[in-house]
Amino acid sequence: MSEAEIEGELRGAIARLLRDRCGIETVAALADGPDQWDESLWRALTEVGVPGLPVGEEHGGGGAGFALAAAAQEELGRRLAPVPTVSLVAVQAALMAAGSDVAERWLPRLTSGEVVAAVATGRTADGWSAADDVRATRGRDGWSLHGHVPIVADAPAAGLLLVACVTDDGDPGLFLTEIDASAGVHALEALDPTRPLGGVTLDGPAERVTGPSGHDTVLAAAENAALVMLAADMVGVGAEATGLAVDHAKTRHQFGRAIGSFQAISHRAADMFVAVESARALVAAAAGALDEDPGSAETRIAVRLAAAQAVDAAVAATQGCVQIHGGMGFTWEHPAHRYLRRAKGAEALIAFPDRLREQAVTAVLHSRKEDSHA
Amino acid sequence: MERDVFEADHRAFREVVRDFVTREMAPHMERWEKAGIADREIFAAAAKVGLLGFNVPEEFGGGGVDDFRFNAVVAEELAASDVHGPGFTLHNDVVAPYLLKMANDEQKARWLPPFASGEEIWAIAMTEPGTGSDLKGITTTAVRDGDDWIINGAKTFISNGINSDRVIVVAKTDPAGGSKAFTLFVVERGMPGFTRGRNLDKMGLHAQDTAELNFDNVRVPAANLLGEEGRGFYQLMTNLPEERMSIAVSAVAASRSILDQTIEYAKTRTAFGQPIGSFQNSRFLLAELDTEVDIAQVFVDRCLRALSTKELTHVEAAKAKWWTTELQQRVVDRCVQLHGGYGYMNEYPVAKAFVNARIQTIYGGTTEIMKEIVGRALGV
Repeated sequence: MSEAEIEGELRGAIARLLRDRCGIETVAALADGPDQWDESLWRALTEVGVPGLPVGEEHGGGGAGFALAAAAQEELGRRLAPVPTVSLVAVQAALMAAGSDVAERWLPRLTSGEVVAAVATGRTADGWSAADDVRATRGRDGWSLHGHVPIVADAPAAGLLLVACVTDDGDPGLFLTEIDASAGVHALEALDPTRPLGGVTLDGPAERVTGPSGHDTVLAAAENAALVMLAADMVGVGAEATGLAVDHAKTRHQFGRAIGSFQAISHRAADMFVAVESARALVAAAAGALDEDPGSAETRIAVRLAAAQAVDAAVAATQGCVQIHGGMGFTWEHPAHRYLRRAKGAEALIAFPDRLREQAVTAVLHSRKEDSHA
Repeated sequence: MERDVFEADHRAFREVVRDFVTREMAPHMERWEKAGIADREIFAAAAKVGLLGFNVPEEFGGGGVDDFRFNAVVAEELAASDVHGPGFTLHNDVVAPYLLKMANDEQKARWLPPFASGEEIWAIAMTEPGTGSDLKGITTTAVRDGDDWIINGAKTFISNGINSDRVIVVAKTDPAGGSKAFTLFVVERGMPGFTRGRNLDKMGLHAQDTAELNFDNVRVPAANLLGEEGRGFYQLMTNLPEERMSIAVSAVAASRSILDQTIEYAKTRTAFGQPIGSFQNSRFLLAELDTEVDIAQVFVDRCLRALSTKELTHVEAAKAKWWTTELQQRVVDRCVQLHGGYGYMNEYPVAKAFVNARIQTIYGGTTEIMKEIVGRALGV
């Protein structure tokens, strides 16, 4: 089978599974109910190997790379699937980059879907950094973490946390620590209920993933993977919102004709479509770059440009979807708001497009400078 | 929307201006554009009917009217007809305030009568090849020598640069620099060492002469020092609201004019069996632009009223300048698009309006500088 055929098969399989198990009514019921995520859907996805897609076969994964993991995430985004793949893949990417004993030990459990993992870091204009209020302390029995991280995506679903923080020596450190959703995690009410957020209190043992020398590379691997997966999710969200809007524009009649025949509607739908298609191409390129050359400046740039375009496209498409549906698009019953909130949630959570473009241009200028010195 | 900023006198003045622009200027535009300069005689002709010098006191041969709304009428009528040739607004809105506020009695008696009569043409020279918005980077120097000053340096992008008989030149009089290092001088045609470079080839405004000026040991008598030594920088600052409002009112008038012409075109041009204006895309676009130009007009008129009572701040003028000129860019760009292929032909006014508009967000302080002014005033 060609790569395109493999991708088509994968997308088809996930789409069929989601059609049965993740219809909009199911998502709506979960989002408006007490549950934080869809654990039974997660088990079903685990059975078909979704959690292990980007991980190598030596760790029990599918060896499909970030390219296919991103394709799968687009399908999950399309259906607003309330499952923690973005966070999980970020942690997997970090562990693959670390290659340490600790990483080797945990990867198979994350690959099988047995354990869900999430990422706890601080945030600066340049991207992920050490969490502000967490300290790592070395005692006789090894490391332990103490402190609080106010917002961790997918924490309510997670049993393991990758934490970036400062050690009591003042070094940057990356640690794995087990958490208990019923004890140390305080679920937050989020704009987007399909991606649960939690505040996490840490006070227990931890294992160091990598020493200070590997820290930046490993943290960058996690961030790049999270951005690509979230961007793929946004392509799915934007594509589905565009599809909903176009379907409505074809069937809804006003002034004796389908509203889609008015230029104001058809041009807006065309803009939404073009934005999402561009994003899909950029995301595919960025995911491919992660597979080919994960540590390069070009990859860092490609990932950020893809994420910026994908988030912008998703926000524009989901807003357009609300507008094209008119008053109906403003009702709670209609799913338009769920797409809009998933897009706005992603934008606020990790991917302010302006910041990402600034990071990209900084990387461009930096690599130019190095070229001119060479 | 009915404009409420003008009174009967302004409306009567507008008739005079429009008549002069239509009969005495518009017919010459093509020739002036080809020549790259307007006939200098047009200044005196315009002054005779009151388009120039109306804000100069009567004792010096002017109209004795200190009300910027008259300046606005001239600026608007020139912009509406896209008659950009001779720098009338430069005279009325920029040079006149300098002379009225800063010249001493002897200088006023010497300079104002031929300024008001249009016999002498003026320019103001701030920009240098290496210095645009950052005036503190000016390198033209003036050094005292006995009772005179010796000026050396080069200026560029000077409007009325070829036609001008007298030029207000900003020069550095204190080599130490800083904001008290600058002084204004009036350099006159014929002073040894004062030469003009090229009449610059520009994207648009082809009937406007815009030149390089060179000063090679030009000896200027102390009697031609304008204002106070070392106060040049502050003197430049005090006049900015007038200059920026002049550009803002022109921007709105030019936008309104070309938009109205385009609406007319959209009604008469048909494609696919219907007038192009009846397609929803064109109709919505015209609706948006018409709305925005109306909004801009209201804001500019409010600023204009404040300026006529000397209450306009430089921050408000900066807001008006950047927003209206950026609006103008969108208006001319979309109007070209609505004209299709004809919009690209210079025989259509919209093509010229497009290129002539482009400088508006740059001269008189760029959009970016305007936002700096507004932003700084916010305390951020």
